[in-house]
Amino acid sequence: MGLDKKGMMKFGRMITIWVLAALFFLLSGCGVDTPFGSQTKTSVENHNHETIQELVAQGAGKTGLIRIGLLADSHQNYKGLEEAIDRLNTQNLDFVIHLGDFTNIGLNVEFDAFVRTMGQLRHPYVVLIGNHDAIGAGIPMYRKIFGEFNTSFSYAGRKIVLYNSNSLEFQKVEGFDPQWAAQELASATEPTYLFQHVNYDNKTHFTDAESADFEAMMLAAPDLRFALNGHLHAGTQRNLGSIRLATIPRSEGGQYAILELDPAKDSLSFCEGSRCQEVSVGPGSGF
Amino acid sequence: MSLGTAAYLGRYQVGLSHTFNQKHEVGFTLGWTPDDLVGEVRQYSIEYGYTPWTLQSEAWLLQPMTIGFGATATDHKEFFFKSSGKYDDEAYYDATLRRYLVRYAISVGRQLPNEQSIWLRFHLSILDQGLQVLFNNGWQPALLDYMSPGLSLFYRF
Ligand SMILES: [Fe+2]
Repeated sequence: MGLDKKGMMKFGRMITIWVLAALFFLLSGCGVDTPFGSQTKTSVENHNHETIQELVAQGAGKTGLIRIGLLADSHQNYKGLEEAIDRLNTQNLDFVIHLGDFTNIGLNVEFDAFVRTMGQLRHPYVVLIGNHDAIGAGIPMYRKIFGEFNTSFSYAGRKIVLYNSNSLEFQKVEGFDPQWAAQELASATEPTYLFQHVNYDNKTHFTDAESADFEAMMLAAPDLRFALNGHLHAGTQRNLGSIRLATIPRSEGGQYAILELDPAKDSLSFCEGSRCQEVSVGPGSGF
Repeated sequence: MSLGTAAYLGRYQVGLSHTFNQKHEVGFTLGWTPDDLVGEVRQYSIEYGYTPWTLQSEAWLLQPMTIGFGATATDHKEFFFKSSGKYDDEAYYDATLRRYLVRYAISVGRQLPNEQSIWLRFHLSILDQGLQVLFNNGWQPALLDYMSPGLSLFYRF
């Protein structure tokens, strides 16, 4: 058909819309070429490693109350994650730990969307790898963006252990290493706090014998105070001897948790919006 | 016949398509993306596009809107259709080797002698996972990461 006046106007409008869309995308850094690779838009690399270096410096010589924000299993609930981040931003925190499962199926686009959303957080943060983040091209992307799968550091007289407990997803790739965890816990000379994605007694991920071994290893640790995990979505807590165990609730609905470490007492609270409830209390740590 | 890039079908693409009544278009695309961490990614895609209007001014052609959908899959070994037997059930994870997408495109063409034409097309694709995010969260800035623009050059004969 030929171009009449009406056609020209429609033509002009469509061109304008598409030029705006194209500009918008150019400004927002375009997209990736394929959903099946490790190509991401984010330029963040080795995030945990760099953050931990800053935290170690920040924690040296620090005394008194330590407050750690906890997030878990945000998957594609960006709205809930944003709500939780907004709340965490209003609080005094030393740092935040995301306990993994920040994607649905470990896609490059999901890594980008997560990094973009976490960019709103005004506290330093580190991220554990969850089982959902470790499928497809997730493992090498996590390695590149966040760093080591297992890592520990000392913060203000406490030992923080970040352990990759995704046994099934790391069968072909090195990175699931219970021996590493055993070594870290056994050699600790400070009150110790263990963070992992999958709970050690998970029936899908571990045999009864593996769970029993891990439990014995935790009980034998000289000073393990809390062992916290994600993966199960609902917040729960129980004690194992003198160790406080808990599952951190998923961030859907703006849920998060706060771990307070204080010379008087250690305590864990589950929060939703501005409401927090203390669910677990242990003896004080630090000075 | 087309040559293209990005919009989730691969860094480099070649395709063949057939158009009915200047409005309905079905096509098949092969895509290839080099990848430092997981090795090369091969992709196989099928697409359908609906183009309500083709505007012409002398030898210039414009299709202001093509709306379509596509399916793309890879044979990359790290991606799967069913979760492996070590999980409780085969739907433990959503399939990762196949994605669907919705596409919008605008195309500018030049009529050649003998009824043939050459076109440049700008695409914008949104992944199925992005539609899921939109459905569950409403608009979120994170949705920008579930969209990818692309370009293709094609020849109609
Ligand atoms: Fe999980």
